[in-house]
Amino acid sequence: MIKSYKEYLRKTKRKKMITLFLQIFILISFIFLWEILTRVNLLNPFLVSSPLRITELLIEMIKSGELFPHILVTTKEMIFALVLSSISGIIIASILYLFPRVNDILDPYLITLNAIPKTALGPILIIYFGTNEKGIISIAISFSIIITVLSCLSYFNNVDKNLIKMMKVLNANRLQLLLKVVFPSSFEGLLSQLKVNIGLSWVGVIVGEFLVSRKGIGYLLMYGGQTFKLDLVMLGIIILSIITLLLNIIISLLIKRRH
Amino acid sequence: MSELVKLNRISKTFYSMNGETNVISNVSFSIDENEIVSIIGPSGCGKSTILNIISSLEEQNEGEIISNAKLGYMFQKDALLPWRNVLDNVIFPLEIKKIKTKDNIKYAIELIDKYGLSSFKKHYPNDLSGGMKQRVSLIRTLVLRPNLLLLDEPFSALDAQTKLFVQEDVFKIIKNEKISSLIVTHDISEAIALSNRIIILSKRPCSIVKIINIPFVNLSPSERRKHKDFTLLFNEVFSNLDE
Repeated sequence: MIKSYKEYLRKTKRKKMITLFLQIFILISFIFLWEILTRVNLLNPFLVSSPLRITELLIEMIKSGELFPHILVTTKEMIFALVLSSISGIIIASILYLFPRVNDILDPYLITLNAIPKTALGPILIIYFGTNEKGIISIAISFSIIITVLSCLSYFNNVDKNLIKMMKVLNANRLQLLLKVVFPSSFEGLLSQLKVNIGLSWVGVIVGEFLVSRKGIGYLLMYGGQTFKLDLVMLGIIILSIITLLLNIIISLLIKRRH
Repeated sequence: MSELVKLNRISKTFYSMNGETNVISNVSFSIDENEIVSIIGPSGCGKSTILNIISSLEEQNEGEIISNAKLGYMFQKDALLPWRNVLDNVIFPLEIKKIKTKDNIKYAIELIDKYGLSSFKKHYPNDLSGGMKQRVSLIRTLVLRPNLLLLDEPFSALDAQTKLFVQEDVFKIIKNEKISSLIVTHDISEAIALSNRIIILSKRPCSIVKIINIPFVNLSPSERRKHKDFTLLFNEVFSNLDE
């Protein structure tokens, strides 16, 4: 028994190691192939850049100190947007849950608002909030707030009917129902909505920076594209990927800690 | 013996956009102290609606209910909160009713200890067996000191073997706490094994077909199942059920 259990542990560990190895292998061979193909001019380095050129640019920008302010600004805007839209989305959903009648009345408006392409709101929001960080954050919030409200409501309304009946039998009011049963029941759902919101806030912040074009990674991307500095564009995309990866790891750790 | 609850010519109709459905028609019965009554009838006949009316989750269209009862309600599924441990689940009704006093918490712990769950206080529902969960669920309703327990098919989610154990368990606790019970079920042997009286309902709209008194009320469920008249009673109930 013990021997076979050890065997099982060993096999599982081995499988994990192989997966990790292959993941890293794919990344390295991709970078390698990219470099080789641009060196031999099978790919045009002017259009696709190359790992070496990107690294050189990265080092240069770190040395000159112009990279970090951009990363900082974008990350700050993104986290503001994420927190504000998630919290206010949950609050609005809670209010609608407490007053089902209001929810019924507002339902078509929410669905229509959610269906509007959010980019279309960008120019208006910038006029209202200014061509600054406030404007960018408001654009990013507009990307995720309505969908947060809608999916929170659907998590709230999918709570086990047995638990709701149990609360009714106890004569609980709707606020007690929300706080004591609905919130804890929907916790997992709310966390996965938070993950979705990370992605949406990124899109919102980058779109905002495209429009405002002062600083941030979105600005670097825009500037790089317009001046045909594709090294810069590629660097921007890579930095975005790394920050997203880090944020996802943080959220996953938060979820794990709860279990 | 005094009556805890009395239903007098109760009728209930549900309305929807597709029309109206008459589910209960002219049902009268009462439950005395220390009595276990079963309601049995074809599925979908409106048995559970009777419980909902007694517990005022729904309102009857006609008839009246005279009640001196303090109600407890036990569900088909355990309806425990998976993120709370056994103790926190048991004191949950106290929290909702805002009567989480020292005395009441002490009473809750006494109940847990009395019914053999003391070593499971800090366990979460998912760590418990189906039968154990139902016991916790029952203790949770006892915390509010009810004198009439409404049980809505409380054993139907359990497998056949567990069911027998839990029936024995619940019966013992109900008798021990001297509370009356109204059990809705579609299981004939369950009704005979647990109750003093069986009310047989007709198809929808349900009305009372017959009330059968069980002669061996002093026996436990397992003893009743072995009794020579058990099959006789079973057949009598069965012949009055229309499907």
